[in-house]
Amino acid sequence: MSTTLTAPVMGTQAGFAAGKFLSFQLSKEEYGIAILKVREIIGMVDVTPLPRTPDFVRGVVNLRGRIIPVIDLRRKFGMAPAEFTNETCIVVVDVGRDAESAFRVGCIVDTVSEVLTIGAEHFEATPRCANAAGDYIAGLAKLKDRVLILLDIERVIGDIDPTALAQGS
Amino acid sequence: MSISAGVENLGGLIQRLRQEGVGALGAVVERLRGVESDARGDSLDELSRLCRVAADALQQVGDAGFPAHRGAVLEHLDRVVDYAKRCSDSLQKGEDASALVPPPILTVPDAEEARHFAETVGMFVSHAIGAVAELEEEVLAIEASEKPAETIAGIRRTVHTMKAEFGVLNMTGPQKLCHQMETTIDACTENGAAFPVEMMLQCVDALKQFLDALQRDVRTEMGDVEPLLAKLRKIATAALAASAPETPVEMKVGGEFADSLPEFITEARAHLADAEAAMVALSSEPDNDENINLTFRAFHTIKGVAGFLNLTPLVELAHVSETLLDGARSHRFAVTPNDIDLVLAAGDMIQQMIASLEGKPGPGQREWKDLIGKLQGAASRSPGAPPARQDAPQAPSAPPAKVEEPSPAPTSSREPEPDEVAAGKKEEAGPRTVLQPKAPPETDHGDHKAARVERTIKVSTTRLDMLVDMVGELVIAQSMVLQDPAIQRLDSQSLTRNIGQVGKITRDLQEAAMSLRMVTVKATFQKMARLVRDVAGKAAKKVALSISGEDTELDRNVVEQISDPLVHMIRNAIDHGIESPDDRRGKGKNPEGHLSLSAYHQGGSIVIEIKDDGRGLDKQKIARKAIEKGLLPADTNPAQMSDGEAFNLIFLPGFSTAEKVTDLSGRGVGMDVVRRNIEALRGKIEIDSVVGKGTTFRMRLPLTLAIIDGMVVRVGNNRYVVPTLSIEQSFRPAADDVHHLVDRGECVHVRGTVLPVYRLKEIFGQADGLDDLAQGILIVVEADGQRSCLFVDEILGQQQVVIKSLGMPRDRVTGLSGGAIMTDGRVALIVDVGTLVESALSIQ
Repeated sequence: MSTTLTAPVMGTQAGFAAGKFLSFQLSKEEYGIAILKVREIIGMVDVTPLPRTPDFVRGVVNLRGRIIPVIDLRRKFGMAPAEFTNETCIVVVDVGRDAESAFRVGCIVDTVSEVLTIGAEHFEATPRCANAAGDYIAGLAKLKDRVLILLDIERVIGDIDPTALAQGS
Repeated sequence: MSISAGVENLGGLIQRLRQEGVGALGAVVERLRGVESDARGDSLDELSRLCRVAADALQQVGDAGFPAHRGAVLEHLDRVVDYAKRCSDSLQKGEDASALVPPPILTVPDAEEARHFAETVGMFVSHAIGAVAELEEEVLAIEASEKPAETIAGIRRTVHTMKAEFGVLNMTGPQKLCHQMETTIDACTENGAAFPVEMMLQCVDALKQFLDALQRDVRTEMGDVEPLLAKLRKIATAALAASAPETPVEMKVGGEFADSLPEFITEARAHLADAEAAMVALSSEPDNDENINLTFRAFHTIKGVAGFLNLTPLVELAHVSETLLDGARSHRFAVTPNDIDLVLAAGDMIQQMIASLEGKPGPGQREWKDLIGKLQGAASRSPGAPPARQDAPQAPSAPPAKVEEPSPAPTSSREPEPDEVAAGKKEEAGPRTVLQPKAPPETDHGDHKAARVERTIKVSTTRLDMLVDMVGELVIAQSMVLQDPAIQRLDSQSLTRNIGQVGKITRDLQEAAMSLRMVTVKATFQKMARLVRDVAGKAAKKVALSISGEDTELDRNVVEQISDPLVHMIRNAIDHGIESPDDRRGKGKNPEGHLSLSAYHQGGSIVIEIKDDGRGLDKQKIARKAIEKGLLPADTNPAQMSDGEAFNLIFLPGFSTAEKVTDLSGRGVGMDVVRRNIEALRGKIEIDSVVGKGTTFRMRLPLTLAIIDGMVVRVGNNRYVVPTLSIEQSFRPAADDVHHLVDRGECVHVRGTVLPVYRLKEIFGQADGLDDLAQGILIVVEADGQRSCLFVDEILGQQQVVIKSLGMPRDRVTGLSGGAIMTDGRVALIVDVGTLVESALSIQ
C-alpha cells in the first residue's frame, strides 16, 4: 500500500485547509483556529507562574493530572491586558505533527464564540503588512458580515520554546 | 539565510543523514522548512512546495519509519537539493527559474507499516539482548561449572531460540552465525572436544554489537559474519576429525503431491511448535492427557502428509514417536521425563529434516537411527517394566501414582552429581536406553524450561507509563475528594469508612502500578561479570567477583542508567584498586583480588555497592595530585582535609591519579561521569576506603524516578518543591550571620563555613515574597559537591510528589526539574538545585 503524501487541500495561503474553525474573541477582534488542532476548552483555572519563560507564557496548569503550559494570547499579540471574567477560557490545542514534537498548550482567550465551517472561497490572503507578527496569521476569512483572523497556531506556539527565547532576550 | 547558503547547508545535513541515520532527521526537516520559506520569499513557488511536501513526508515517516524508506527518501532529497541549486543559480543569473523541471513529489509506502515493522524488531531486540546476555553468562559459567554438560545444553537452547527468531525476521547473517555456533557446539560436545569458550564469546560480542546497532536503527544489517563462520567451522571440523563423517539422512521429495511441499513445511513447523509446547507443559502437569493428545495429533498429521510426499525417514521417525505417545495416551505406561525428552528430540530432528528440504544440513544417519532405536525402546516397554512399574492401570490408586512418578525425578536431578543422575536413570530405564554424554542435561530439558518460564506478557513501556500516570492522578483526585470542605462537613461514619477504603485501594493500586515498572538489576550485574573478566585479563590481574542481591528491583529507567557508572567504577576498581598478583603476594594478600558487587534496600532507597580489597585510596596522594592539577589551591594542607573531602576530589573532571593513560582508565573522565549520572538519577555516591585494605563505593539510588521526597516551600504566593535529597539543613539566620560581599552577593555563616545565599524570589523573578533574610528560612542545599543556601519565605512541609513534565517543548526550564500536582489540584514547581545554582551564578 502506498499513499502520496501531499499537503491537504490548499486555500490561497499555505497550510490552511477549508474546514471547521473555532472562533474566539480577543480584544475587539474575532479569531479562528482550525478545529482539528483544538482538543478541548476549559474554564479559567489557577495558573502557576513559570519562571524564566517569555512573558506571554502565563505558567502551567493541571489538566486532569497532566501539566500543560498556558499562554496569554493578549500578551502574545501585544494587546492591553484584561481582567479575567467568567467568559475567559483556556483553549487547549495540540500542536506538532508527530509524536516527538507534539505537545499540548492552553491559550487564554477572552471568550469563545462558535464553530464555523469556512469554505475555500472565503479565504483571503493576509495583506502584506510591515509588521512581522503577520507570520502568525495564516489568512483572513471573509464572512457575510465580519472578518475572521485565522491563526497559524503552530507558529504562534512555536515561540514558546524557552531556550530559543533566552537567546533572543 | 540566502537560498544558496540554505541549500548548501541542506546538502550537508543530508550527507549527515546518510552517514548517521535518523539522528539527523530533525535537522533536515528543519532546514527543509527554512528553504521552504526562503523559496517562498523569492517566489520560487515550486521549490517551496517541494520542500514543504518533503518535510511533511519526512515528519510523517518519522524516526521509526525512516530506516524502512531510507533509500527512497535519500534519493528524493538529493533531487530536491539538485533542483534547489539549479533554481538558485538561475535566480542569480536573473533567469526565470520556473522553466526548470522539478523532480516528482516524494512517495513513500504507508508509514504505519514501517512503524509496525520497527515495533516488531524493537520488541525482538529487547528480548534478544536479554538472551545474548544470558548466553554470555552461561558461556562464562562453563569454566566454573561443575556440570558443564548441563550448561552447554542451556547454551545450545539459547542459541537455537535465537536462530529461530533471527530466521523469523529474515536476518540471515545472524541466523547463519547462530546456526554455525550450534553446529560447532554440537560437534565439540559430541566428540568430546573442549567447549570453545573464547570463540563463543567472540560470537556473542558480534551478536551484541549487531543488536545494539539494530536497536538504534532497525534496518541495520549484520556485518560480514563469514570470518566468524570460518573460525567456527574450523573448530567444528577439528572436533569432527576424530570421528567418522556422518552421512546425512536422505530426504527426497516425491509422489504426486510434491507440489504441496511449501505448505507442508509451514504446517509441519506450526504443528511441531504446538507439540513442543504441549510436551513442555506435560512435564509440569503430567496428568493432563490433553497435552499428550495434542502432541500425538501433531505427529500424526505430519506423518500423514510426509507420507504423501514420500519422505520415508521422516515418516518413520514420526511413526515411532507416535507409537510412544500412543502408549502414553492409552495409559499403557506412565510418561517419564525421559519420554518427554525423546519426543522433544524427535521434534527437533523433524525440524532439522524439514530444514534439510530447504537446503540446510540435515541430521546424520547414525543420529537418526539412534533416536529411532531409543523411541522404539521406550514405546515397547511393557507395563511391568521399571518406568511403568507404579502405573498399575487396574488399581484405583493409579492416577496419584502416575503423578508421583515423573515429578520427583526432575527435582532430584538438580542436586545430585550428573553421574548419579545418569546412574539413576539407567537403572530406571533399563538396559535399552544408552545414555550419551549429552543425555543428562537433555533429561532436564522439560522441567528446566518450565521452571524458568514465568507467565509474562509483553507490554509497551508507553502503555505502562500511561497506567502509572493515571494511577498517580487517581491518588491526587482521591486526596482532593478527601480534603474537600463539603465532604469534611458531612458527619457520616459510613462515608468516612468508605472514603478510607477507597484511599487504601488507591494506595495499593499505586504500589502495584509502580511495581510493574520494577525490574531486577540481574541483567546489569551479569554484564558486569563479563566486564570483570575482560578488564582483569587486560590488566593482567586476577580478580574474583562475587555478586549478591541481583534480584533487587529498581525502576526500569534507573536500571538502564546505572550501567555506565558501574562500568567506570568497576574498571577503576580493577585498574587502580586491585594490585597485581605479585604486589598482593608481597603484601601478604591473596594473589587473587576480590571484588564484590551487591545491591540492597536501605531506608527507602536502593544501595549498590562495589567493594574491592585493593590498595585503597590514599588521601595524601589524591590531595597532592589535585594541587598539581590546579584543582585545589596550592596552599591547601592535605592533612586538614577530611576523608570525605579528599575522596570527593576523585569525582572532579580531569582528575586522575594514574601515572599513565591506558586503554582502561587514566583520563580522569570516568568518575566525573559516574557522579553526573548518579546525580541525574537523584542519587548519591559515597566512598569508604582504608589504605591497603580496599575501597567501597556506595551508590544510593531512589527506588523510582517517578516519585521524589520533597520539602514544600513557599515564596510569596508560589509553592516550590525542593528534593529532600539535596537538603542538608534549614535555619533562620541571625542578622549578624549575614554578610554582603562587594560584587559577589550575600553570604551566611553556617557552623564555621561561609555559604553563598541565593534568593529563590530573585532567581525566579518573582515580585512577591520576603526580602528580609531574618524573617524567612535558609535551606542549605548541596549539588555537584557545592553547598549553598536558598532563601525562601517558609517551609510548608514534607511530602512525596509525583514528578511530571512541565509540558514545555524542550522540556527543560533552567532551575526546574518538573512540576508536581499538589493535593489541592494546583501545580507546584520542583526545583533542580544543580542547574538552579549554576544559573544563579550566571545571573550574578
